[in-house]
Amino acid sequence: MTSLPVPALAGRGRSRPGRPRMTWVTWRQHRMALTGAVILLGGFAVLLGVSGLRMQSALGALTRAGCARPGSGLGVGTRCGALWGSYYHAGFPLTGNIQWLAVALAIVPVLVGMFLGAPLLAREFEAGTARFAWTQAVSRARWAAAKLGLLGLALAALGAASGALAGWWLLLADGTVGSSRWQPQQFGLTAVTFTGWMVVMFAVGGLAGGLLRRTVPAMAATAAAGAIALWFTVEKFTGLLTSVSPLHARTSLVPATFTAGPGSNTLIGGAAAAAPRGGWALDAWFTAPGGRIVPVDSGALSPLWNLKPSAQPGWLASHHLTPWVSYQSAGRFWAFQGIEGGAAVLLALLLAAATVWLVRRRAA
Amino acid sequence: MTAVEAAGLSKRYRRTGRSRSAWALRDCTLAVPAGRVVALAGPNGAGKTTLLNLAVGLTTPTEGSVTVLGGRPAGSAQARAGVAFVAQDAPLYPNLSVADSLHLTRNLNLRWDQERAVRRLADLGIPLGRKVGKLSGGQQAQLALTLAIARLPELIILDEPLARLDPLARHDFMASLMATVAEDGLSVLFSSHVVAELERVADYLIVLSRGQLQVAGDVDELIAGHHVLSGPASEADFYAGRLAPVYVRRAANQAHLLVRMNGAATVPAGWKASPVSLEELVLAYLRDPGAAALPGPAALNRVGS
Repeated sequence: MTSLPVPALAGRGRSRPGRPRMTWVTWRQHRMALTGAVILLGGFAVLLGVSGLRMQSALGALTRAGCARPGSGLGVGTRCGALWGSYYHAGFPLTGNIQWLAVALAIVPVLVGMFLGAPLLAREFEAGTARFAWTQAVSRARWAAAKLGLLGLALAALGAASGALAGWWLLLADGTVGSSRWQPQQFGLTAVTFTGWMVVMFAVGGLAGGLLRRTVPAMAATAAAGAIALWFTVEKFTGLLTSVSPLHARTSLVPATFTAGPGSNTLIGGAAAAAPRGGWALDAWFTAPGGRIVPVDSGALSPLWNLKPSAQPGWLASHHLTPWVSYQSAGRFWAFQGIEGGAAVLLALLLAAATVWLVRRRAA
Repeated sequence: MTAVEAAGLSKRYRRTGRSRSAWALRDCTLAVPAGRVVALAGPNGAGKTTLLNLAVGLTTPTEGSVTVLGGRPAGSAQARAGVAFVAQDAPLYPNLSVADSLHLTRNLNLRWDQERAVRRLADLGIPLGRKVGKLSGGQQAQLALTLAIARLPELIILDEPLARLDPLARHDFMASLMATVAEDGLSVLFSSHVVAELERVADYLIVLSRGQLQVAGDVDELIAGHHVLSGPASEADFYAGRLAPVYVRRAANQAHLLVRMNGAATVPAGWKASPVSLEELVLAYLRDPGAAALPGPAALNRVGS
């Protein structure tokens, strides 16, 4: 049997002794989707930045004039009324639609999962290009890990920047609607939690693409998973917080702020304003002498709500009622942020590891 | 050295939906020598793609093993460094430009000859700036081959490289592949369900049918070892029983037997032996998989040594 001698590699010359560079590969193949995410979040950044800076200067004017900050529970003097007005105007219309803004921002990580995560593997399977990509010198495990890792890092940076901006804006807008960064919809909009949402939804999309191998079904699965995760977080967040033993406090501010806004007809909505500043009220009640508990919606309290705020403490004293509120203190905010953000990042790492394992194991 | 070596290689696919499973490849043992142009022939569904996917590590065997380039396990890092694969329909990224496709492949590999790739594309008249999706089918196939060649492999494996090409593009594609083979002395293994053009390019032939290996051997030896014997129809049954022909064809009073003859065999008196073309030979084997004359163990051993 004759066979031609295989020439030595050294003899071929001209070859570039190189090393694979997945950074360029990842950037070149996903720059469109990444740019899309940057443009989308950049749009939000412009809106929030402009509105935030205007609110900041309006608040500065309030401070210089010696006026109380809106939402602090103190009254408006005639002198400060115009300045308050300019502050409210500065944040409008975003401040009037914070819930919608929060929903729109919360959808961004889901879109990232759908348009960046899901096609990552699914499109390679669908177009057959996995057979090209996985027969090069770079191992398929390294190929998948590099793509997931590099894109995940980029998205984490993007999420951290957007979350920090949204958190900054929400603190500035705090006075306008009495909203709170503790509210479930807003809780996900900080540098910590938004980063977590970005990477975990991207990882969900990546795994869905690896499992389903078709782009559109993988995108649909990612959207469904995102919707369920958002619903679960928003609906169950308060319940999770109450399961962590709250702080109890007695505060004389409670009756005054119970009458502050239209939200006071619901227990938590009313109590939210009753927690010490920066905290998150979970429950509120009164105690009568002997320790008997009087709920906020008790009929015995109805005369109280018809009084002027200044007359309420006197009425409570004459009836020997003590106001109570249970709340999570402001100091716990970042601990809870760390729990949600950390859990999301950990889950993202697990999903990415499962995806790499799947790529290694499954046939193209 | 062997380019590809398989021992008891089998692959069973689980059918999704139904619980039935099917063997795509069954007990395939072969040793393909290096430095050859090997054609893997067989009808659609014969297991050609499965065998090639196993050889490049895209699929793992259900049973048995397969190695490339003298014992490197298929799909291992050493194997991937030396084997370039062009999958069926030459999948590439359609939204990348030709230049970016080169750069992408360069960044996925350890060895790369940019100059050669650029020169080859210039010779073929494929513009570097054009999007891959805008190239013709023939140009895409040529680009995929260029990307494979620029990796400076020792073995190029191509799955149905000619299937989507028109006759002129087929000719050009095989001519440029052969030029590279002549220049570098690399090994080529390509599959094809088109039998007609194999003889011109392949010097080693593997025939698969229904997941089973039917023929594996040097093209010259196969052609030299097979003859069509023509003689009286009355004697056909007698010789058919003794010579184990691949086929027996009977006319009014003439019979034709395609037989595999080793050196010792002689043409019976009153019979005429005529040579057979490779195409005729392959088709004969494919027509009757049950009566197939597989290359004996001795032949395989000789190839493997």
